[in-house]
Amino acid sequence: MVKLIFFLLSFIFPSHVFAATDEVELKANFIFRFAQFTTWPPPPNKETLLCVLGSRGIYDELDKFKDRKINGNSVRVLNISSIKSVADCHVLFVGAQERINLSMVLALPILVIGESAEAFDKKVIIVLVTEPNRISFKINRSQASNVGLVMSAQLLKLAKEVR
Amino acid sequence: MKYLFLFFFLSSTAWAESDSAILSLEDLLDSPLINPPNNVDVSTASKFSQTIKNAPSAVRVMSRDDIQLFGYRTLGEILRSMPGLFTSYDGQNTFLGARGIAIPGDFNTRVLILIDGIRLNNNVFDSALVGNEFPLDVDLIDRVEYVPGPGSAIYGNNAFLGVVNVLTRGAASLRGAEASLEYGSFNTSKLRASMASRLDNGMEYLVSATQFRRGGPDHPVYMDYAIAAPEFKGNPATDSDLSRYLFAKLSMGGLQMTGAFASREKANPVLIGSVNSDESVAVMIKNGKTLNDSLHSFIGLTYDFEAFSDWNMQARLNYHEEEYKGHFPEYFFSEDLNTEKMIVFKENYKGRWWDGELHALYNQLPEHKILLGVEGRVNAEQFWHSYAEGFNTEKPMQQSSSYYAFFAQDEYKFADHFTLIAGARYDYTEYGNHFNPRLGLLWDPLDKTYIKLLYGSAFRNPNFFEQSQNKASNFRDAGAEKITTLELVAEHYLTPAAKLNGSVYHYKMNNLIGQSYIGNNLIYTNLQKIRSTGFETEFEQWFDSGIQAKLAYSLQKTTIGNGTELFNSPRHMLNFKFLLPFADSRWKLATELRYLSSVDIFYGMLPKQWLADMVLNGDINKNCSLSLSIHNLADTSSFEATRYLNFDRYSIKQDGRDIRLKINFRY
Repeated sequence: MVKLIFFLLSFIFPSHVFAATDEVELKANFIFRFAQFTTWPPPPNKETLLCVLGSRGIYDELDKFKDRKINGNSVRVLNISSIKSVADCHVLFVGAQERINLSMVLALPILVIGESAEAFDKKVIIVLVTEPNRISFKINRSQASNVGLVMSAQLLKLAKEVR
Repeated sequence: MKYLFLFFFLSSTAWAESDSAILSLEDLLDSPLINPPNNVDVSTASKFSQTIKNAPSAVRVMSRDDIQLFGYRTLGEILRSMPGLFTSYDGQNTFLGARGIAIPGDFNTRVLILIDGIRLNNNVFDSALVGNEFPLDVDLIDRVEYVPGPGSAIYGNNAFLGVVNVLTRGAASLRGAEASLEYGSFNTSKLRASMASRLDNGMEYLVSATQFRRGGPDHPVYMDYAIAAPEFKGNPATDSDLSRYLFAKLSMGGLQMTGAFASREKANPVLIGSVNSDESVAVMIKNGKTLNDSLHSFIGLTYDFEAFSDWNMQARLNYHEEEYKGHFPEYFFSEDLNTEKMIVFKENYKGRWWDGELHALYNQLPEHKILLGVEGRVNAEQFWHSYAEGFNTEKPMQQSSSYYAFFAQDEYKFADHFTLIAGARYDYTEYGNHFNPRLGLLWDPLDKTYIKLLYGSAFRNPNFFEQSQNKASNFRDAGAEKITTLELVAEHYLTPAAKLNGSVYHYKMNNLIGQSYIGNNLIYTNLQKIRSTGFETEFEQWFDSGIQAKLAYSLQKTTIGNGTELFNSPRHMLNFKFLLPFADSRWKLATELRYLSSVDIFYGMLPKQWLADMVLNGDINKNCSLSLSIHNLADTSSFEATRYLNFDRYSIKQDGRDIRLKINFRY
């Protein structure tokens, strides 16, 4: 009986209601989640550093997560202007407009995230894909394991494509 | 923070999991956007992923969300809601018309249709049909990309008026298992079961099976005679459809295997009547149990890999089989109509073919994206036979053939905000060699605006059926069709939530192939020069409350020879879509209104028509959703053109109001 009532209630109060979201805000949420689902070869010892290159909008949204924790570590969000200052970053988001040569970062154990098809061809580890009504993502798993990053099974399961 | 506000409304159980002031990954994937995005990636126009603004065409994309919300039941319904496209159903098949061109007698030969990049157009009729004949259940579609304009510069034959790529869902979209049940008007039912997952070792699979059954109207409305028929005893015409679809995908580390199998058993409700006055004998023909069986299957391997560390390569190999058996009993009457005699006419075709492709994308040169490729097809079997049972007069036609081609394209960003696309393909075919270039100049001065100027060209060879018909009548083959086009495309965001785009084009077509008759024999000849000029526009606005409105309008004029208007070519088309969410967006009401202006068909006119569809979608809970769709809400009577010149009726009345209830479960 209790089950039945619960069942009926679930019809009236569905547990999943999705509010429409701004694209940039949604992408920042994804980036934060990706960091939570990634294990670095030496794990960050005090803080997890999230770097943003070439996207002020993403930086502003991501900065709202600075008081949260990723696997017990505090979070710092950094807006960087040059590829040279990435050495300490754990996550690097590269905006679609940014046309820099990524080859030097690709060898480092950094979770590089992009938002364009080109970025995926250029071996970025995760790329956010804009669908007509939502956002999805693709993972370059072999690139991740090349630099020693481990992505959780959950992340791999939900990716639109795993290369 | 918006999400705090959201939590207030959520039942406490939903957020029992900790650390959830941000949404889970699943919830993020299911979150809709507020504004229509301007950086959607498409992959059909150039055979690699690029944002819409870099694609050398006015690409249209329809996502799975919209397919569900607007209750589209076939690929044809998806396509006809896009600017410039329209369909005609003749009681048997659904044909696609694009930008004013829908010549009766062609079987969708001028639009190339792909599933996940695999070419479907067959090797007998060059056709890929878009009704229930389409070998994939619409529920498995992730998105449809339509690339209007000639695409022969990378796709070769059949990419004459456009390319449609149907991309299928994967494990991330299915996330487990799904079962869906449908029931509706005209005794229609559909059952589907699908399963998909990505395993920990990276292997991904999807399997799905569907059965569709439709009884059809009690008294099919299509049947008619040019001359009033006498009362017949015996079989009434039937309009039933039994279609089955199997689809499977398996992928692992860059290698993907795709397989599809579809079978369809369709009773044809069209009655043909004619009077042979020359011989002063009344001949009446009645199709009692006209049956058309078709089978379509393919299996394909695609391998994405890297060569010389910088080249992104893709290799494909596909094998297809398609078979059709038509069975047409016809009744001949004596002059006084007292005795009847039945003769069964048979129509069979079979096609088996291999196609393969290897292409490479190189993007390490700054500002360049270079695509190089080879493609070929071997037609192992092309078979066509039409005969009257018991009469051994007509010989089957059969042959095998092949073609191969090379193509190259460069996307060159030669200045800030300017891109030049230049590409060409050279095809070696049994009907001569064809060179098809294309050029695109793209300018995106602002984030919210882009303009494209495009030149394109394409060809289509006469297909095996067209060749065979002419051979049977000892008439020379028709030549290959050619098209060259010029198009200007623009898009602009008026506000982040309001998007306006438009396209003006001019098409010049030489040698289009059409039907004509020598005595009683159907042959295919090249038509006079056809020119088409048109304009398409789409305005889309999204509102805060999740309301979405989209208005599309197409205007075109297509003439043949010295200015006569081409038949079956609607001057104006309008499509208005409106999406209204309510009850916290758990329920959504989608309405679509379509208008087609009147069209000339061979002998007569189809009147202009307004048609309205309405769909109510609801999420009962996370695992169960409902949809109630009503097609032709006002039960308007509407007509569409038939495909043969020798039909006594050149148009067929369509089914009226069609209601369907669908329940979808997810595990």
